[in-house]
Amino acid sequence: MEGLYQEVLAITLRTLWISGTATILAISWSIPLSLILISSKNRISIFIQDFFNALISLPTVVLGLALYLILSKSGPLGFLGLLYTPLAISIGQSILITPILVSMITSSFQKLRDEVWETAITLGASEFQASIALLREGTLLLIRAILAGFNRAVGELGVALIVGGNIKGFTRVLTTTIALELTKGNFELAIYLGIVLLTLSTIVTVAIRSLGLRGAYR
Amino acid sequence: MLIDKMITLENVWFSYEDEHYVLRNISLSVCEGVTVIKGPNGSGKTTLLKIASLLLKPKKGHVIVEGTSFWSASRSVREKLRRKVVYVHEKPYLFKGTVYDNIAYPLKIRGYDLSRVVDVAKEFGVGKILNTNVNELSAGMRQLVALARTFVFKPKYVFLDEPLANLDDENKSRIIRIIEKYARKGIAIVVATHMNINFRKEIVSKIAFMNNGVIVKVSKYK
Repeated sequence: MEGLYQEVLAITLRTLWISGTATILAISWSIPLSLILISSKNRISIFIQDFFNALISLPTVVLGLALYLILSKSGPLGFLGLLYTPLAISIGQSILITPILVSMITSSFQKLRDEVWETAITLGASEFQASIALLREGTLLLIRAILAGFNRAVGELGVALIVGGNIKGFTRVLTTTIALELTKGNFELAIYLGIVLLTLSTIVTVAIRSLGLRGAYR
Repeated sequence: MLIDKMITLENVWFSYEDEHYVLRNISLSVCEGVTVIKGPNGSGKTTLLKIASLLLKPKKGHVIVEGTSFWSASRSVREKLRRKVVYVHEKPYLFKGTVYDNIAYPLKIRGYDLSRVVDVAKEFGVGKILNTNVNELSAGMRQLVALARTFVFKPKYVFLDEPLANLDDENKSRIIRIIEKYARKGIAIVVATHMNINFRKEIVSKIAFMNNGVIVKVSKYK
């Protein structure tokens, strides 16, 4: 029984590490991109926003397949040797959640943009200073978008399975383990892991909801 | 009238997205003293103010700031000119934090000394609530804080959109006195309003009457 708990703990921590890395990666480009899209109200930025909105429902197996072809030995980035590593999963998940982050940040910041950006600029802020003001004013909205992205990364299966390879003790995460244990008929571990995944997801969802309410009543 | 102390709109047209023009062929100059723009709701006053305060780019026409065509100038020149101009919304946005944080904001981003904050706050009647969180303020107090934040860094051009809209009679009188005081100091102040505001006649340089996106009449006093 103790071994089971240790295994569940190890898989959970690995999942958090891989999806956390993916979220940080996605944040690093999603926030600057969103700020650029928010600050430029032209047709191109609207088109890009629509494009990211459409990508939200991208099937994870399609993304996993595309990444597999790119990262496999014969692929253009095969020389990096990333296939079947935790970093490959993180990269895949970061791409997967980028549309969620960009869409949530741009849509929720749109109203704030009109108020905060205009106020900061007219009070003499540079565009950079206005961006800082916008991020500061929209901290709750930002955290909400980040948590939603993290939630999606933790719960996805396709990318982790295809580019991670579900290697025990290395790339095995909650979702891939559940899938594997089910096929093996090992329902006990699958149920334990399912509960952990559901708990994680619920905590994040409740946090998103409470942040949303706080934002709404500000 | 010195051209280096003016903002001039030349044959300005403006539309939001691809809608019909909400401003049509507007020409107006803003100089020292108080310029009043009067007109009913929806006549285009706010849009005109946002264009003159360099927040919106006109679809046609030019905005000349102190002799420079603003939207043709380089980014650095635009930023330099923008720092002289402030627009205050009818329902101004206050940043998270205290009254002090808000009034100090324009000074902080310019790297100026913050010692003026307390004096200006007192002048605008918000000296006793400097440490109050802005979420706790009434609409009228928010307006006063926004105006204190506007005048704290001594801008050259101030555009006020319905500045008395949320105020009681006492605060209306206070704001009118303050506007007159700063106008006497050489700041060009433009007030867009649908109300009758009784400024001292020697302060008012012109009154422009707007209706349906055009200036229908300008009465000059200076």
